[in-house]
Amino acid sequence: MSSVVENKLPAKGAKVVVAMSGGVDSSVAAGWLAKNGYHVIGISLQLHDMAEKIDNEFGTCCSLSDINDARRVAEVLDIPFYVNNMETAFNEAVIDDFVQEYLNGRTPNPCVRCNEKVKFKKLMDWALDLGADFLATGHYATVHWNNNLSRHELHKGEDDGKDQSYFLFTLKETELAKTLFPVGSFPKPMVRSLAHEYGLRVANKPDSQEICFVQGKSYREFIEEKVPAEVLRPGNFVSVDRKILGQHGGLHQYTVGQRKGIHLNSLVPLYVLGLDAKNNEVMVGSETALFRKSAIVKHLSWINEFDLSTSSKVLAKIRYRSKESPVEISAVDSTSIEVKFEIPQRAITPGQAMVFYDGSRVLGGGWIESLSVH
Amino acid sequence: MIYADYNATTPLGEKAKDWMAQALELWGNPSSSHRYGRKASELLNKSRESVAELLGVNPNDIVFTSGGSEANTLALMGLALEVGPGFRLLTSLVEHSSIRDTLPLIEKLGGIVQHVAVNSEGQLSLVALQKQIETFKPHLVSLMTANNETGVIFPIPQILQLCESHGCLLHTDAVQGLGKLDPTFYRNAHLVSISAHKIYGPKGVGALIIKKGVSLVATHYGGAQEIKRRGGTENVVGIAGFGGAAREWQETHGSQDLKKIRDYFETFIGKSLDGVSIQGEKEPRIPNTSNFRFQGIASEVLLGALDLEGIFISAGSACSSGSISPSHVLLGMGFSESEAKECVRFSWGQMSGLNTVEEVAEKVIAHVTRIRARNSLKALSK
Repeated sequence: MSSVVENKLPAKGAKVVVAMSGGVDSSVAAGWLAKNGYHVIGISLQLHDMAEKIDNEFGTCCSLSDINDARRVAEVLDIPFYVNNMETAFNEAVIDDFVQEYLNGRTPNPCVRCNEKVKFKKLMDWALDLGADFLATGHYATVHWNNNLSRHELHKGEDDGKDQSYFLFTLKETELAKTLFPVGSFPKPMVRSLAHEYGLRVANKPDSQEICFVQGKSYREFIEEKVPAEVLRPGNFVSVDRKILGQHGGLHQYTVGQRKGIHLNSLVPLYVLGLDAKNNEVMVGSETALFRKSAIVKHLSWINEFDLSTSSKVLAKIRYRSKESPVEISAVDSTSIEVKFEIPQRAITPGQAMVFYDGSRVLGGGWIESLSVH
Repeated sequence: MIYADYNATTPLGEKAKDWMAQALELWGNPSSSHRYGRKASELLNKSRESVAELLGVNPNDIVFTSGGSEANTLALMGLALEVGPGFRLLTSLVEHSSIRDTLPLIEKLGGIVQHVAVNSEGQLSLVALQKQIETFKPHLVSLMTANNETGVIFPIPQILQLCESHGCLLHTDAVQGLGKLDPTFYRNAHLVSISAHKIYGPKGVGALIIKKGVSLVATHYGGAQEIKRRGGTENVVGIAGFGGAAREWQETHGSQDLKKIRDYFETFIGKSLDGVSIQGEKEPRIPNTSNFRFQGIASEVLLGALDLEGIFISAGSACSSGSISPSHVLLGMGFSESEAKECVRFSWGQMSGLNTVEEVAEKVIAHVTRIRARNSLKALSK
């Protein structure tokens, strides 16, 4: 018998705060817990000013209509429900960072930051202050209890196509011990059918695809609204050998691997290979040049204790929608590591998270700093 | 369950229910000249008299509205429209949002708005007010009788005197004064807003009392109802409920010593917890209201924790999403946002007694102590 308890659930009667976005996953998370004997308290976060976002019936995450959807779900489930304003924390920890990263020529991942600084920090705090035993979310991930090693582990969600463990790599074991992912062991179709079974009107609500605070516009437009025009100044497109090829309209319009928006005469299709904030340059080249084998990763965060010297062969994922791939990792200095892939990866992007796996277990991760010379 | 949020609303009283039940049967339109109309009109006027009697005002001065907010809007907008561009309004930063949110509209109509300052206890200075009236020369002064969040009472009789000697009108939002203060304290203002559901009447009905000789432009049109001051078929059921509630209040008021209950609660908490302050403690307050600040405790957390145990209180003001925004009243008193976020309001009423406030105090003390202990642990581990 396995000594690993999959997607551990506490004893019935535990008090659980569920972060409810108004989407089907967190609604079913709340519903499942409520129907299975837990004391469930629903909470929605107001993360940005929602005044102008009332019109669409099924918006994406954290618009006002989503909060109303969450409230309606809580009413149907007959659970207490609160809305908590975390606008200030969200602005400081997520939006400011998002804008700054684009200005630094990097491509940020605000969802990871939000999980780290808002949901599993401020909201977890709030839940525990309230007297709750656990915080639950609608993420597709699972928390395992490993009896042999007496520790909580973060594992992928059962539905491989929906797995969201990538976004959770910053969690600490102490936080995991107080975290539940009730839908993490369900396939998505089952989540929708449970929503129907519970009589929730969000059962057919589409999944959110966009970043919640830039919905309805492009990242480019969002940055342009936030930052004075003189900061977003034009610069040069350069080739790999640093020849000037033309003018670009501002670094924030580009991300590594992008093909659109490079209006240069060329016989081969050109792709963004890198962004140089210091010189305000966008380096472009052929698609083959996008495939790289190594990167420097900083700001590491490990879920359980992790020893680089004994566990250097692991799997790594360079963005949410990429597959894990075998790597070898080695320390560069006390704060950074070098990650070498066996198979070249397309468009390793500074600013994105690199997350490490051992099978289904998330080891932790860090933020891609740069591509290394290897 | 313990309800400690009577300033938000009150349960429906027996007489209010009785009168509303009567109104449900009298479905005629009070404006109709036939018997069905007359029957409805009779109940409407009986209700008007009942409210007038509770306050000691002329029934003809009462204009029924959809509530205190509409009464406030009617007073300000009605006078702004009457005076036209150049209308000058003097008010405070701690008024109800129905006053506050009407101000931009008044400015849009060419009006000018000034605010009289309040101190950290939520009180204004009569000397400063007089000076401001002399220099600003407002057409209208609008100051509330008692603050809904802190309970602090403005000296309405003295303010009225100031206004009259300087030839301007006084409007007072007496929604929290009704039933909690002797009506002679506020009823002589030129315009007085009241609401039914703060005295065990139904929600959705209130009144603006407009003294004889004060003319203002209506803001609702569609008929000659309420002597042309508020068009639209009357909410007979609601108004009857207001009438019933007023009658019941007049027969029973004063039977309960809310001040004794409130003071017991404040003393109980004060002697058990450090880092506690009561807003407006040194000022005259309506007898049922305590606004507490518990240092280090977010009001949302305390509200939630108490709610989960069946104790219902409030904090700040609900924004459109339902989250709690820091109270503009406390910000107006000079509190920082983070200070304002630690304040909660307890307001007592009919079902409150010494034993209920004691239970609430014990739960509050337990939660505050528990959360502070958690916070200091967190601080240590950092």
